[in-house]
Amino acid sequence: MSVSRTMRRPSKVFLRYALSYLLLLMVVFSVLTAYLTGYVNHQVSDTLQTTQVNRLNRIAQQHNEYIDNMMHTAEQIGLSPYILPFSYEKEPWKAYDLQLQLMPYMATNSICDQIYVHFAGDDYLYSSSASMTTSLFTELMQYEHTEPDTLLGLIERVDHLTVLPSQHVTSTLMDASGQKVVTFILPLGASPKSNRGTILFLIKQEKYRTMFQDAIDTDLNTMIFFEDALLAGSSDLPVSDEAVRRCVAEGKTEMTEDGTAYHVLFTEPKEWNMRYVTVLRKSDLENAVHGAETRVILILSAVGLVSICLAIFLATRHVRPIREISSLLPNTGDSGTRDELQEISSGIQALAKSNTELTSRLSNALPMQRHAFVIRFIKGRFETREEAVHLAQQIGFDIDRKYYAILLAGIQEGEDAAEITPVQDATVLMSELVAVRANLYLVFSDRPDAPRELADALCAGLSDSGGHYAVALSGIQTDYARASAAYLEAATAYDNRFITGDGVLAYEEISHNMEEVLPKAQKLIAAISQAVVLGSSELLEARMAELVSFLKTTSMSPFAFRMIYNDVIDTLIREHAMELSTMQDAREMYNIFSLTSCQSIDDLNDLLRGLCQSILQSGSGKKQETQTEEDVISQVAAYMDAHFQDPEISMSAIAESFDLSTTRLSTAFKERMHMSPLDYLSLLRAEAAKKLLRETDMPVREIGVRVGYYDPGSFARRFKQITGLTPVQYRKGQEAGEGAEN
Amino acid sequence: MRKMIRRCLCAAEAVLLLALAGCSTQKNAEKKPESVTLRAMQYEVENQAIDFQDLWYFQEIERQTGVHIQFEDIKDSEWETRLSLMFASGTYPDLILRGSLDVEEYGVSQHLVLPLDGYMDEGRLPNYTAKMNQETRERLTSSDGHIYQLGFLISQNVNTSGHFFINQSWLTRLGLSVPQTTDELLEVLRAFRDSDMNGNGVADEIPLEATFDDIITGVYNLFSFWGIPLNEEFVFVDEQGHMHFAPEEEGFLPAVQYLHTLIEERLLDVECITQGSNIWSAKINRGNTGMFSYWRLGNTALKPDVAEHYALMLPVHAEGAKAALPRLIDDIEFGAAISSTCSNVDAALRWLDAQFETENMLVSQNGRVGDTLKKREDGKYEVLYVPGDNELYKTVPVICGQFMAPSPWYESVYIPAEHRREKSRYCAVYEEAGVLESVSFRYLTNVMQKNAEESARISRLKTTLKSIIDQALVEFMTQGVDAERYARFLEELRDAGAEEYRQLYETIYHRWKGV
Repeated sequence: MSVSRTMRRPSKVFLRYALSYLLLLMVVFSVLTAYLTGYVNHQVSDTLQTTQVNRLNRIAQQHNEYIDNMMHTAEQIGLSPYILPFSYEKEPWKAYDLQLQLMPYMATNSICDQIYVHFAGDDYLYSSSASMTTSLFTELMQYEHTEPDTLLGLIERVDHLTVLPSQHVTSTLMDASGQKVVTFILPLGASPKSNRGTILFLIKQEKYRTMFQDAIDTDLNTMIFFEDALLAGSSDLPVSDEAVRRCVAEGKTEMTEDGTAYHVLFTEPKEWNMRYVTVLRKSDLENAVHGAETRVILILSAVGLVSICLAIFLATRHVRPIREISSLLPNTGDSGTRDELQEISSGIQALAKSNTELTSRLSNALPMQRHAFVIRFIKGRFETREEAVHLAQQIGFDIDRKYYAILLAGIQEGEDAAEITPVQDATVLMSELVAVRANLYLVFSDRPDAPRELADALCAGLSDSGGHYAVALSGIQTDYARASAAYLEAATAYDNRFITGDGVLAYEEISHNMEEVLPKAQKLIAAISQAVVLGSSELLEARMAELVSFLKTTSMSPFAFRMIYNDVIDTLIREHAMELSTMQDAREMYNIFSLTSCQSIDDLNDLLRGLCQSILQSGSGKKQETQTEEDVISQVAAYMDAHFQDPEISMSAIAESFDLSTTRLSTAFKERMHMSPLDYLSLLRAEAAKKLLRETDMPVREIGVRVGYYDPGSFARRFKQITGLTPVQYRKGQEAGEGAEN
Repeated sequence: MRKMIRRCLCAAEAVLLLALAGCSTQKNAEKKPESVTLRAMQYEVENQAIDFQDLWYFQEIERQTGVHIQFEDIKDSEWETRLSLMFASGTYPDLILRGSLDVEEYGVSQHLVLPLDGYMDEGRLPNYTAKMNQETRERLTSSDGHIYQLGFLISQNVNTSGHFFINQSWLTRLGLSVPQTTDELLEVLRAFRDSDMNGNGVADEIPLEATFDDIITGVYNLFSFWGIPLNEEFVFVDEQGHMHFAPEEEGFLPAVQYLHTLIEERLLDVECITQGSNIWSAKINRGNTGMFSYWRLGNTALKPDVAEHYALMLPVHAEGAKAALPRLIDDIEFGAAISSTCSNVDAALRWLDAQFETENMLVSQNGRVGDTLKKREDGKYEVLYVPGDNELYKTVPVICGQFMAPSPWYESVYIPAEHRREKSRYCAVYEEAGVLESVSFRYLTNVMQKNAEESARISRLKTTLKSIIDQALVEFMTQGVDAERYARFLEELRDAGAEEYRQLYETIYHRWKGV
């Protein structure tokens, strides 16, 4: 694989990744931008228009309140028993009384500058400070745009609200002459139909404008129209009041003046025939919308930039492992025509295949197979002789011979472990036991002398190389099931090398007193087995103590004791296979190598005790425990039956008092009762509540408390979960049922 | 996702709106003046329309002092009511300007206005203090020894407010002489009524025009024909120091009966009972009125071309009676007070005192120097001319401003305008004819010192009595009155404490006179 190729391949992959991400991002952002700008456009424009319309409605509302106030004053004055129509000519003193009556209205009103009352059919106007003929009034009150005759007509014949738009009024009757004044002319009394007369409210424009929370000033371009006439308000936009009036009258919402387009927002005339209008320059609205759009695009661009960086980062992260894999792959030679990723894929497949082959080869390697066979053999892991013979044949050894023995020989420096001295008519399998630093030889032959010949040959070979050269030999065996015992014999003999020195160490030669010891030991082994059967730890301890004291009376080496213990353990495993689930499990528990690593009787005792305890625990003890837990759950249920009304009852408290964990309690309870303890508790409470709902008039809230709920909400929720009805529905249902029965 | 976008947008909109609000606030802030702003309740003469807020004079004072005043203009007819409501509301303006103020009640008793003597002594009203003399200071001092007001004094030797004027042109045309008795007056008025003086063929002439309850244009002045100097206090004192309660006077019944005759015969405008001086002047300015009482003719609400037809006449007298009009003295009126809640007393004092600087003060009465006022080489100020139709009120507050000019200081700096000289001439004529009461009622109302309790008691009694008297007057004038009804009226007054009222005045007067 050339360097340039290594570099080129991942760069292309990187580009493909980066481009894919970017394309995806572009699609997402394009859709998002299109949606958001459209949405913003609509939203901002809507918001601005809604704000304006809301403001107009607010002004309308305030205006109506003021008009209502005036109407109310007109009504009060019209209905006052002290203010009755009269003729000045005939009863002039009543005019004086009327002035006194009007004084409090004028002094306490905060809206109007002047109030005048006119009675139908009379030609006088009365205020708190002056009385005058209507003709004098129209003469003195010089309205800029309202002719005296028109004013006179309005004063004398008004059957509905009339408003004179804001205009200059020149008069000594006003506190400041030439001011702009808005004049409301209302019917006097509760109903225009009563035709009692009219009442005039004069409000200076300056004061009129401050009546509104949102002042009707130039900045806000707000105007109030009354019956298509501009009442008050103005605009700093270069649009004429007349143009706006026309636009509103025609119900148009857009207008153009001097080439500039405007939005005209207005309220529909409802009460008092007033329209509240505001004018917005279209370009101002568009600017606001574009501004908002620009901001959205800017924000999206910023997010987009971050996303591009993220895409590059992700692409880099994806490419890095590909680059590493790519550099490790064999060069297939046709990369120029194939896709890089496919190439990598096929490379990985090739690697996987070669790996499988390698594994297969390795597992099939003879030394490994031989070693595995040897270890399995000496651990006694073959069920039958035929199985062992068959497996040995598979790896090229014929072990179907009459005799066999196990040899252990020390490993010498520089020795070639595979080199086995040939023995006539014998099959020899060698394996290295690294833990005991020895080579193990399994010798199968129809001749009983063959193992000894091999031992001698090995000994001779070893002695040539200098240093220690001990070779241990087990007894000559025929039963493959005794392989573990044979290994122990060899190991015991091998351990004796420290006492006897180098040379061939035959087990038979060092175990001359074993035959005397073993029958006696067999009795003690049977006693231990019996103790296990009885399940008594004390008895077991006593039997084991007896065995130890017996063994100590013999003059056997500690290594020979392993043989005794091997027998004990073997017996126990066979007799208690039922308690230990399967024979296989039992054998797994016991490892011949752990026995050989024991250096003292106490070590052996510990090993034996451990096994016995396992048998005891996995056997009879299990049943007893199950029975106890069932009892506890019954007690827990009984406890809950008695205490469900206590709101403080909790699972953790119950678990603690029965010496169980909350989890264990929950699990055991479910096993036994098929529901969680909490569900059981809720069920108890619901049943009790049902009874109270049926049989008493007690309020639901109190019933909740009675059955153990502090909170009525929790009670209702749990009740509904269990019964499908709320407590109230349940009670109603019951009552209806009773009613039906009755 | 949609929700999240909506939230983001809401936040963006909020930022946008805040930004817009920020711009608008900044814009508003730029508009605000930097000077101190105080609120003032300003008295306004009924028949004037003064735009105090935009008056040149107050803009000038603002320029000099840096104090801006927000004026609340109150018409004469509403002043008392609005003042009471204002004090009752608990929200007071910083300043109370002109009109009237019961300083015993609101200063001594309720402490709602600040004592100013301390500031005078500290030299914080230098212009004002310089113009005061010992007498004015004493007259302005309240019963507790403090001074709660700045006085308003124009020393101009005016002795009455209501001179009678008769349409000389009509008299001449009818070949009649100026009436001297009530009977002669009746005849003249009847002639005015019946002779279509304006020649329009309609009997729309008003032989006698008046307003109701004042002593300038009101029907109160007509009681002088029976020797009753009826004023708004309804009491007057004779040379012997006896206190008289006007409705109990011998001439009161014939007077009201005479007034009834005038109204019944359409010789007196019946609307006098309800109209104010603005309607009154509007009617006279129509040019079809025979007679009225007024301050003077020149520089008033009357149009010059109308005024020129009238001539001064002495009040007529009823048989066996000697005419007696209420007498004025150079009394000190209420000028200004600072409320106890004033937001900036320093600024208030500065603004008020600037108006007492000599030139400012004279300008406030007479208009701008170089325009209507001239400063002569000898340092005196001379009025060049007085614009007609109350034009002066468009630039300066005239009598609604602040003024403290006692004699003889005033004569040392000021040569009065023609209209003032006109008034002085009328006053001299009336003085010489002896048609004024001997002791001015202003001693009772403005000079003699009452304690707070007396002041309050008098005020309460007066309110009740005035209500009874005015309503009775309206009734008597429009519906007539006989002796029996008059007796009931007197009884009603006695029940309302008329005698206590009279005696109270008499006691205080005697105490003041050291009797």
